[in-house]
Amino acid sequence: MELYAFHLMPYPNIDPKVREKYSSAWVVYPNSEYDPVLGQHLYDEYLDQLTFADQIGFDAVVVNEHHQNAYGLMPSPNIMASALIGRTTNAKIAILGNGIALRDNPLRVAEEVAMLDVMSGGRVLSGFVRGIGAEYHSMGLDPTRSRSRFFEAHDLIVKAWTEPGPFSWDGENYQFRYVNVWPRPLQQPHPPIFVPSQGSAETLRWAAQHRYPLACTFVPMERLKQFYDQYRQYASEDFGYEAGPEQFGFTSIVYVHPDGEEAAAAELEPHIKYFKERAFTLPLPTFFPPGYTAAESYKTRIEIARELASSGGPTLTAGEPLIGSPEQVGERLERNLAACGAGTLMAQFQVGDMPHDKVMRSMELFGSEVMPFLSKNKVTS
Amino acid sequence: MHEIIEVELPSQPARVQHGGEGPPLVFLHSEANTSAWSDFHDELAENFEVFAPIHPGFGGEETPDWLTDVSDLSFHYKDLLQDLNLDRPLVVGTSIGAWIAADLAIHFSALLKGVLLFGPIGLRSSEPLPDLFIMELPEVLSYLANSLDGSQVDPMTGDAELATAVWTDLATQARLMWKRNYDPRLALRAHHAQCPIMVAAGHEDRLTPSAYAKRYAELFGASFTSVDEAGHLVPLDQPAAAAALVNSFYATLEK
Repeated sequence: MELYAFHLMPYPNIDPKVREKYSSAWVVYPNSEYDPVLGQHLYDEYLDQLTFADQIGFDAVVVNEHHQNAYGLMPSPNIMASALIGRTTNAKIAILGNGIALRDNPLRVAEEVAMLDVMSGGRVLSGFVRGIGAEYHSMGLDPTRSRSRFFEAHDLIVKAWTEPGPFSWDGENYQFRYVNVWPRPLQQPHPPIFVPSQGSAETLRWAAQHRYPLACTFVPMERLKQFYDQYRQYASEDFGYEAGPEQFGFTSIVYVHPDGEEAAAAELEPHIKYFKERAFTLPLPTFFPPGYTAAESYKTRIEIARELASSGGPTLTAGEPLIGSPEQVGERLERNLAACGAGTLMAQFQVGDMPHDKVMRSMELFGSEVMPFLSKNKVTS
Repeated sequence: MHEIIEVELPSQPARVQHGGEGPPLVFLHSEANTSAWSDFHDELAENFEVFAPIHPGFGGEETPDWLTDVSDLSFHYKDLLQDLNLDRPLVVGTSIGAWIAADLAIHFSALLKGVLLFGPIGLRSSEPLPDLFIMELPEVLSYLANSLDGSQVDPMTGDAELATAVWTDLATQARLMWKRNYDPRLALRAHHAQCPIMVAAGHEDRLTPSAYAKRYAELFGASFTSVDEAGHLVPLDQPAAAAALVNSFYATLEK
């Protein structure tokens, strides 16, 4: 079992009176609402939280890329990764991931991740994402090219990391006379690549083909099982190997409280509400702009949007809620991983506008009581 | 009333709706799932042999890989005119179809008798035009025409198939105009369009201001007409008035 500490670094002061004038906290929510003085304070706290995760034994700390929104303040995950390298000693730095299709020059990603890998002594996990639809609005990029750009940028970056330069690249989307990336990554043949997925068959098959672990964010347990089963099936039937639990990871909100589930849920509830209602809401045309997926996938999105509307919004916990006493959280965490055959839990401690002291108290309990519980079971299992 | 003919072209096969008798007229349709044979086509077919092709990547088709800009469609349609042996047809376009017609006239005006542009787009605007790609689908339709029923294409409460059809058309439109909803070369090259051109815009157009359509007419040396009680898609909102304009424009070409 691997435990990653996942963070979105949200903006916690979204004013509901301002927010209600806009369809979303993404793309159109005005940046005049961002207070940079508060922003500095937030970065300090959020980095402290991830640094603490390293100290209490998390296997990795997770950063990610989103643009022009109050949902997550990390448009450049590599800058956060760089800050974390100096503060952490053992944990991997998981960048889940760089939006490689969003760059007009994907070699910049190859360069930066190689730098981070060298600087960290080989502690980088390199996720690659296409970027959700909102990013295409924010970056002024044609979503109909997003898949093609994603696959080509991936091929280019991996080649730049693994084959001697200079070589030339003449692709559909990217052309370079000289590809000769300095520095090269420390890990050989390259930092491990992770792929977040919303479960499209094409992405699942492609990830299975390359043996890239799937990292799923806010996917309910039933769909996780479907995605993982599909991946395992591609692996065994098309690519001749059995996919193990180390190839599957997912996010879950974690909140540990000494008084158990009821007390934990009551304390967590306003922050979940803030997160869902003010930060996370994505209108369909923002989330899935025209051309971002094939027509068939869009129909599936309509179905999912209708399901979510009737069930009260996105699921932030896959399986049993990891909310409660240390023992409850530990047992459920193990059961959730076992239920879908996953090996990695990406725990999100900070949610929405949850203040630093609450986050730290929950993390401290996780470190002092859940971690020993899990490692004891690790030995016996 | 009409048939569908399939024509093999170097780019890809064209699906062409065909009906009516008279001089040849090519009608280039608008966006958001509005390519089907309509009252306007029927009106046109009373006086013309109408050829109404479905643009590549529209009418339920996925965006083709070869399509990069509007000029790709001009060359696609030049091939179509030649394959169908159309002798200097009148070309009528609406919205995105009018942009294609304007570009076709820039490149191949000698092959055309005249061009009528209803609510043309593709010109750089001094003020940003509404962003159709971030709107909910019912709102998209409200910006395009008064006569379209937006509630039908609401993904949450309407018909998922219809919503997907509008969305798929918008996808190909995104390929053509996501980055820029205009072609900077259009203004530079407008004077190459040497055939007679007319621009008509709906009086209640919400997508492009009337100054925009007038500027279009000015650049192309075209006459300009405003159509009452019509939004951006004039042939949908006022099929009879739009067809009457086509007839009167054609009459001036015969003189």
